[in-house]
Amino acid sequence: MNHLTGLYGLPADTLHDLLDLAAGYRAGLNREPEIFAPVLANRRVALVFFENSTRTRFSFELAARHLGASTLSFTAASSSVSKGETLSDTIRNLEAMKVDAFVLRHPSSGAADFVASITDRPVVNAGDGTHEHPTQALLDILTLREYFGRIEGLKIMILGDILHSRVARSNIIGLKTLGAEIAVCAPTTLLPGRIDQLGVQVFTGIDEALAWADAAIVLRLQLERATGGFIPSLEEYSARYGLTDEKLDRLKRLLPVLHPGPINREIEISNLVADRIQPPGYSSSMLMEQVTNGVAVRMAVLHRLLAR
Amino acid sequence: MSTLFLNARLLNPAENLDTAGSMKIGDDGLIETVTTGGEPIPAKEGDRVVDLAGKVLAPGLFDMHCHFREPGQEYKETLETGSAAAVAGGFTGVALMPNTRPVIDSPLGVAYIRHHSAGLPIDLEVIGAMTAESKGEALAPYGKYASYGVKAVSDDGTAIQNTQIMRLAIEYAANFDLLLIQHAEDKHLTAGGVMNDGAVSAMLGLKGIPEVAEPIMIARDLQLIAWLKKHKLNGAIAEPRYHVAHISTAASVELVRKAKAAGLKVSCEVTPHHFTLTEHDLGDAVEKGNFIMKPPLASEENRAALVEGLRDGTIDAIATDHAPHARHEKECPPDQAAFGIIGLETSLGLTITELVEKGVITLSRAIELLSTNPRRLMGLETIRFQTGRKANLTIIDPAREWTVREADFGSKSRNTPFMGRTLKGNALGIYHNGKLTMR
Repeated sequence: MNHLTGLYGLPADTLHDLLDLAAGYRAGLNREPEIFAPVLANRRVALVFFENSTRTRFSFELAARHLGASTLSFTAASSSVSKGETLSDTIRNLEAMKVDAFVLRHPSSGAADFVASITDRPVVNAGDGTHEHPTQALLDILTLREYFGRIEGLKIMILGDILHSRVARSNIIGLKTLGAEIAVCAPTTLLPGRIDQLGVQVFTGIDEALAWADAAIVLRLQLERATGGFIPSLEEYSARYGLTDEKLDRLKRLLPVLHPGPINREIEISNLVADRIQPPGYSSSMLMEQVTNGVAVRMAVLHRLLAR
Repeated sequence: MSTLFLNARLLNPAENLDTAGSMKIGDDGLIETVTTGGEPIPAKEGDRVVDLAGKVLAPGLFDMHCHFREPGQEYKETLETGSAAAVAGGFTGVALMPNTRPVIDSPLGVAYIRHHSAGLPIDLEVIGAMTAESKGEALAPYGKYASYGVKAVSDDGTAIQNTQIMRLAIEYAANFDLLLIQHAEDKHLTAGGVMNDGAVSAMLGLKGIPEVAEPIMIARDLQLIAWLKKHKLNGAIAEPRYHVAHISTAASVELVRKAKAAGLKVSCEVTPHHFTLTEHDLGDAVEKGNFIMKPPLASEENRAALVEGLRDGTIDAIATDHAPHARHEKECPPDQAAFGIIGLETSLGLTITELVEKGVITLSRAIELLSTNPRRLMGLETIRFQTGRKANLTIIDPAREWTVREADFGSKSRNTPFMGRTLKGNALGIYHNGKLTMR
């Protein structure tokens, strides 16, 4: 593995190796003080973010620093991109400054593969358009693996805007590689074409989907989807697809719930479901666990790509 | 100096000619003698003698769909470099789409192109915009176009979305026998789209262009034409002539097939990339920019339907949609890439490799698609291999295998998905306007 631009095409062995390494780092993050071997000492990681991000950028930054690397941050708004520089020129200039790796977030699908095609430095995709977000999927998978003790045979339901979700794509690919079954649940307008070829079950009603699932990954509903006409209104979406206690109560079975964040409270997920960790109630929120696992997963990825 | 082409295979579908023969052309560029069979033409001292054993002498190829970017975007292509690309591909003439900057939507624009193309080695036909600035709102001056020798109108790159404006364009163009060349695209369906909406776009997370966006427009236009013919014109004046540019889907081919059977004056062209490549070629490519164009590369099912349309005669012409773009406009993530690829240099090679060599069509039919039919549709004189006629010829080596390399291009741009591909068949040169240009 020279880059991590997506989970597409990665064999199960590679995923298991990353998850095992991440699990070790996850245990380390619980210790006080957190001390890790500086396997990335003297390496420089460029965090090149063309879209706003708090969680993912901080997570990568912490991961790099835990392993002894230095980081430099780049945000499009305050850079020469606003002066019309092309992506390839930006990357080549940073490369000429001798950075050792790129962590890239970009609004264009395929941006990470494109950057990987023009540089020999490792590229980590931190989300490209509606294509992939591989470290998010890895942290979701690590969270599920820690909860269930396995991935193979699990039934994972992804709820929400599949069409525009890079998180959904990476999760479908990664989880299927590791032997899970996947279902998606969304109105047809928020499903991509030829969804059958992704090898997933499709539910348009949430009750059947919940009844099928061992765990649910709830996706953020971009608020502009309503103005784009994909759904009539946020209220209608929330009523039909929002994950609430009313819907979970019909299930009468404890369901672990994941969400990549940031959440729209009371739109795709209710306050109770988002915040409840322990019963009583039929949901177990994994959201904060996911965030911590995110640091561990990114440590593992940077370790594998960059350690000498 | 006279020129003697000896031992050639004379191939001219317009005259049902396919025979061994020789041709002598005077220094005035007019054909002096044509002999068939083994009958020799004696060479005189000073004659230029070209032995074409194993080669084909065909009527000059004509590409009815090109973008030479001048005026306005000369960094991509100019009339001169575009012509060099045409010569490299074996073309003696091309038709230029009007979507330059500014758009060619007036006699002034037509005159500009004519002025700046004087002395170039090939013929440049100017296609006028269908509507002012190709905005789809007000008709361009077709009458003035016609008096300036314009033969066709198009808003290529877009299509008139307003059905009433399209209706008026069809009715008015018929007055001047202008060919209406339609870039069939429902812009609401395609807005923001990058590639065909299907299995590959779903995996790549690229916004899809639904394939119905093309036949929906064609169906609308054919309904208008059929209605006008029956209920308004009713034989009183000339019927409109309608031509679908770069046809790309099975449904569109079927619409054209049925319209032809119903007796409408409808025709269509296909590009070499659409009959050669599919959405999967984009999916597999590392550098995806050169696989991004409109209409997008389609599914294999649609590609096969295009090949069938070529086989059964539904498709009238092969046209390249030669669309040069600079490197930085393609070297970027796929959704930022400019739409379009160049095609003049690879058109004949792809036609022979993908269609003739695979037994879909004969070489004679290929010449019909690349010369006879596009010239007829554009209202140009039929090329005849007869004494006293102007020699307008392309010399073809149908057996030559070659690998597409940088040096093969005359264009200012290199945005082709075919670099490095091995093709069979190529043009060795052209004879046009009294001048022999060998590669």
